[in-house]
Parts: sequence; C-alpha cells; structure tokens
Amino acid sequence: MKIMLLAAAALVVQMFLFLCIGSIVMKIRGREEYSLSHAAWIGYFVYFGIFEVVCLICEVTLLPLRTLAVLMAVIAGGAILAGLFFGYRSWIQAMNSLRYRLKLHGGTVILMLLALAASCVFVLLYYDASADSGWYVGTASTALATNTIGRFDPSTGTRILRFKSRYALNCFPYHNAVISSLVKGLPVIVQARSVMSLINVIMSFISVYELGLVLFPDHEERGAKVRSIRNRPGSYSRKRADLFVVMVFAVNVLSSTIYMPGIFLFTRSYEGKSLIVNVAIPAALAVCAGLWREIREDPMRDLFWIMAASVCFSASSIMTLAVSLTALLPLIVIRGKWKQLPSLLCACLPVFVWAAVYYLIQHGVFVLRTWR
Amino acid sequence: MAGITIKEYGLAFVWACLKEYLGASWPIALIFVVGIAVGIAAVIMKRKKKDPPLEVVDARDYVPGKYEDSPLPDSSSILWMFLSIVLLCLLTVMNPFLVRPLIPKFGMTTVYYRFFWILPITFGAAYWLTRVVGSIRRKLVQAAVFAVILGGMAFIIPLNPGIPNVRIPTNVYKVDGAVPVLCDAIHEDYEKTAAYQKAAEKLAGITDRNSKKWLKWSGKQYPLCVFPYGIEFSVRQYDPTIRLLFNRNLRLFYEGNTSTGISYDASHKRYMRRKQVLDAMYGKDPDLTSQEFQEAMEETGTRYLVVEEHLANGGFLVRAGCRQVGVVAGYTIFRYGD
Repeated sequence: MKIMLLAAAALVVQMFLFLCIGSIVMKIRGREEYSLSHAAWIGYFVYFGIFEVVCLICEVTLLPLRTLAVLMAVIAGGAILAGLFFGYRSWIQAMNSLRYRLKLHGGTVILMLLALAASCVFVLLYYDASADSGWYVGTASTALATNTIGRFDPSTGTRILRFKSRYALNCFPYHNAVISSLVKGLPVIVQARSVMSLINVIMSFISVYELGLVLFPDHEERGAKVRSIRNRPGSYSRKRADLFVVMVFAVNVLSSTIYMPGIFLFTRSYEGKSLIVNVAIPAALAVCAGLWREIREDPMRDLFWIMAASVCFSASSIMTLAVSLTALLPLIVIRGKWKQLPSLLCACLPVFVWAAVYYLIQHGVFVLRTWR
Repeated sequence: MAGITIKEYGLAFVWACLKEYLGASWPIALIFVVGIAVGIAAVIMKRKKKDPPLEVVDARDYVPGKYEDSPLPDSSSILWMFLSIVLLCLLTVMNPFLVRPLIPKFGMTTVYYRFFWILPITFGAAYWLTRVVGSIRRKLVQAAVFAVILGGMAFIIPLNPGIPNVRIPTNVYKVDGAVPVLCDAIHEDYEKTAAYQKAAEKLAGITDRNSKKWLKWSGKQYPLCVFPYGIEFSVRQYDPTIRLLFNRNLRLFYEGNTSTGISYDASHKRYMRRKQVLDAMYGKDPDLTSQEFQEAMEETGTRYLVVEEHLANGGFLVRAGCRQVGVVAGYTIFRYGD
C-alpha cells in the first residue's frame, strides 16, 4: 500500500514538474494563455533534454548517482518554484475556462478520454519478462543499487571497463533511478514499469492530440455558420483532434505485429524506443505539419527540444531526425523558404552532436573509461 | 528482423521487411496509400475546375470567413507532407540499392524495422479515416460510419498481440511471484559464505569508488546465478544485487532466439562454458561429465543454480559438487562451492 501511495505521489509530482517547466517556457515565449496539457507536453521534452546533458556530464566524470539525483532535485525544485510563480495566473485562467473548452470539444472528448483510460489501465496491468525490459529497467535498478551511472552491465551486473556508445549516450533509464533515489521507499521497478509507463502513455496521447490540432486547423471550417457554442473558434480543431486520437488508438489496438508502434505503446511504454515512435515522432510530425500549414509561430524551438529529448530516450533518435528532414527539406525547396534551413539544422543539432560523438567512440577516436 | 537477412533476400530485403513489419495489419497501410491516391486525384480535379465568377452577396446572408481568400495552405499541404516523407524514404533509407550495401555495414539488419517508423502509416491512416468520418454532417450517420469503420477494421485485422497476453499482476513489482522469494533465499544463504565476507572486507578498505579495484570487488559481493529462462530477465529488474551468468544475447541464443542476429558456435569458449552449465541444470547433454561441469562453474565463478523443481537434473548436480539450498516457490536452488 505504501509503495502504491508513493507511486501515485511520484506520478503527480513528475507531471507537475513537467507542467512547471512548460509554464516557464511559455512565459519566456511571452504566452499567457495556454492549455495545461500543452505546457506539460513541452515541459516533458525540455526536462529530458536538460536531463540528458546533466546526466551525461555526471556519467563521464564518474560522479555517483546520488550526486546526479541531488543536482536534478535542485533543478526540479527551482523549476517548480519558477513555474508556480510565472504560471499560476495562466493555470487559474485555464481552470476557469475548462467548462467552456470542454463544450468546444463536444462528445468526442469522452471517446478520447475513454481511449486514454483504457491505455493507462492496460499498461498498469501488463507485465512480461522480456529481454529488453531486463535491460531498460535493469539499467536503472543497477545504477541505484551500486550508486553509479552506467558502470555495470545491467543484464549481468558485472563491471564494464569502458562506456559503450550505444547505451551510455542515451540517459533516459537513469531518470527512473534518480526518482527512486529521491523518493525513498519507491522501488525503481515500480517507478519504471508503472509510474513512467503511465506518464509516457499520457504524453503519447498528448503528442497525437497536438498532431491532430495541426492536421485539422480551425481555418478549414471557415464559412460554417455560427449557430451554437460548438461552432465557435477552436471547436472544429478540437473535435477533429479528439477523433484523430481515437482513430490512432484504434489503429494501435489493431497493430498486429511486434514491430509496429502499437505494441510498443501498450507493452513497452517504459522503453526509450517506444518514446521515440509514440511520443517524439508524432510531436516532430506536429511541428512539420505546422510548418506545412503555416499555422505555428517559430515551431523550430519545439523541434529542438523534441530532438534533445529523443537523444535522451534512445539511439533511435535518428528516426526523429529522419522524419523531420524528410518532411521539411522538400517544403523548404518547393516553397523556397531557404531562411528556414539554418533554423532546421539548429533544431536538429542535438541529434547531429549525438551522432558525431557516437561515431567517434565507436571508431575508438576517444575512449570513455568507467574508472580513473 | 528475425530470419530476414540481406544475404538471403538481396534487393528484396526492404520489401520482405515491410511485409514482416505490417503482417496482417496491411489494411492500415492500404488506407494510408489509398488516402494519398485519392488526395492526389482530388487536387488534380480541383485544379481542372475553373474559378467561380464573382458573387454578389446580400449583407444579411454574409457568413464570416466564407468569402475571403484563404491566406493559409489548405488540407492538400498535409498530403504533400506525407508524400514527401514517403518519396524521400524510398530514395534513401528504403532504396534497395542503398540498403543492400549500407545496412549491414552499420549493423542495422536486425533493427531495420525501425526505419518504417519514419513512414507515417499509423498517423496517415488515422488522418484519412478522420477526414472520412468528419466529412459527414449528420451526427447520427457520422456515428454509424465511425462504428462501421472500426468494426470492419476489427473484423479484418487481428488484435495487437500484447492485448490477449494481459494478466493481473500478483505483486506491485509486476514480476513473477517466485522472483522476490528466490532472491531473498539466495541472499540469505550467500551472506553466510566466505566469498561474501572476503568481498565485504576488501570493499571496506577501498575508499576511492572510482578505482578499478572498487569496480572489481563491488561486483563480487553479489552472488553469480543462473535462473530459468521464464524469470531470468526480471530478476535484475527486481533485485540488481543478484549477478547473472548469461547476458541478454547469450541467453536468447541458448533458447533458440536469433532475433539479435548474433550467433555463437563451438569456437566461442565463453558461450560454450555457459552452455555446459545450463545443459547440466536441465540434463540436456548426456555426454557432459562432472569434471567438465565443475570446470565451467569454476571458470565462470557461478554460485547458484535455480531450476524448476520438476525439471531439475538434481542427481547429477549433487554428484558434481552442488548442494541443495532449498525448494522455494516451485524452484530448487543449488549452491556450488563453499
């Protein structure tokens, strides 16, 4: 019972942290009115982008996990305080307008929430003993037990003498170790397989919803007669986005092979690969669709954080890069928007840097030893 | 992808992988492709249409937004985005002539399926389906079409393989109920051994936790074990103070899983020693002698063997120097050495 209460508290605190970070980002961008889910979604990517940098520095300098946990606690504490200070007015505003916004959604929001609830219940119940789960969760539990970062093989527990670029450069599993280190009494296996799984599924749904908002912008409905509150600005986009989320859920339920995104969403939601395909790729597609439709202001800033978080999640971050480049390069060429090319390259910088470091380590240009 | 190699399939590798990736869910890809085709046809038809003549509108019939020129790109821009992703993929990461030499070079044959994540098949199919359902104005008809589409898809396409496998977990850790009790029993026994005492003593004398010496002895304070395949991968998730003899790839290969693309033969001494331990546990190799088994145990430093009670090759293990520690949750624990 105590573990379940701690898990619930960890879930709430982590979601609140993402909301606070997102609120700071919104404040920096000069936005006072925003949806809380959108802020938490942005905050999620920013958090993992920052975590990747801090964790990587601690890892290669052989600092103990506890030091990383303390550093992240300080950063998270600061972010929560700043988020509260900058965001509380916007949160109150968002809560006050909740009823109005729910009316804009109409009945389809119920279907979407049912799909989300079903997915959450499923990932909470599902468990297996797969080799990959052994690696992802084992990495976090090993780090916590040995108070080290990446210095022991998670599948056997034996020491490793040099960091392997394939695993050492993607720090997502250590987030779970950090949370368990800070929340005394919360086993890392519960944080990784239940708490983080739930957060990831929620973020996946928000990513798809954000994509839906861009795929079905309000201006498509221009000209429809204003008859009721349901036809007010924002209504069309929200309703279609809700329906789109339900359709993606249905397609995921009917993804019948072990390679498709659906299986990763429902059974491997605590793995970095799953976050690439179910959170980062739809988020990157939302940015790309926003650029194609010319309805988002400077979306490259979002793309930068999506890329940074992708690097943290998995070596498959290269797929997020590929999605962005294949979607945006033709746009730049066809519409002659050459000014966007430098900002696209800057947005993709985290993956480029990761790829360069990966290549150099793989080819022995430099060796990262696990001991001094 | 399991069983699909460039060596065997050559230029057909990408197609074979795509078929394996989609499996029985091919109608989802079909919806995506048909959506693109219909979208292109609609754009061509629209361009053939002449601009309508200017219309004089009574102020009372005016509807905001209906008559202004749209400054924003219409829905066809999404079509072009999908199309550009597909075409660029076909030219690059799904171009058989590039894939054949490059993918093996980057060691990505077994994980090639991840390149299909770039194709927006799931989101594209959902987009077209949403457009179809959303284009219906009457709510009742819309709901009926929605239900028919979902029902039809569910009838044709099998369920996600994870869904039928869901079970109610017996504990909050979501591991097999035997794992916690087995780990406790092993620790209880191991902490009485001389090996544990020695490692603890050595560690107490090492202050620099970043030294190679600390790395060495901190590992040795934990027992090295072999567990049955069904629970092996969850052991270290629950209890990282248990060390395992087999790493992920070695164990998967022993169990006949070649999805990693890595194989081991008789020349691979590290694998062969570990194989002898598992063969002895389950009595799989009648030619294996006690001496060979003991050598394998000594060389690897293995301490504990956990076997399903009804499958254990107990007689051989005891004769070869193992001692039965106990029977816990249907598994027998054997300890080798003092």
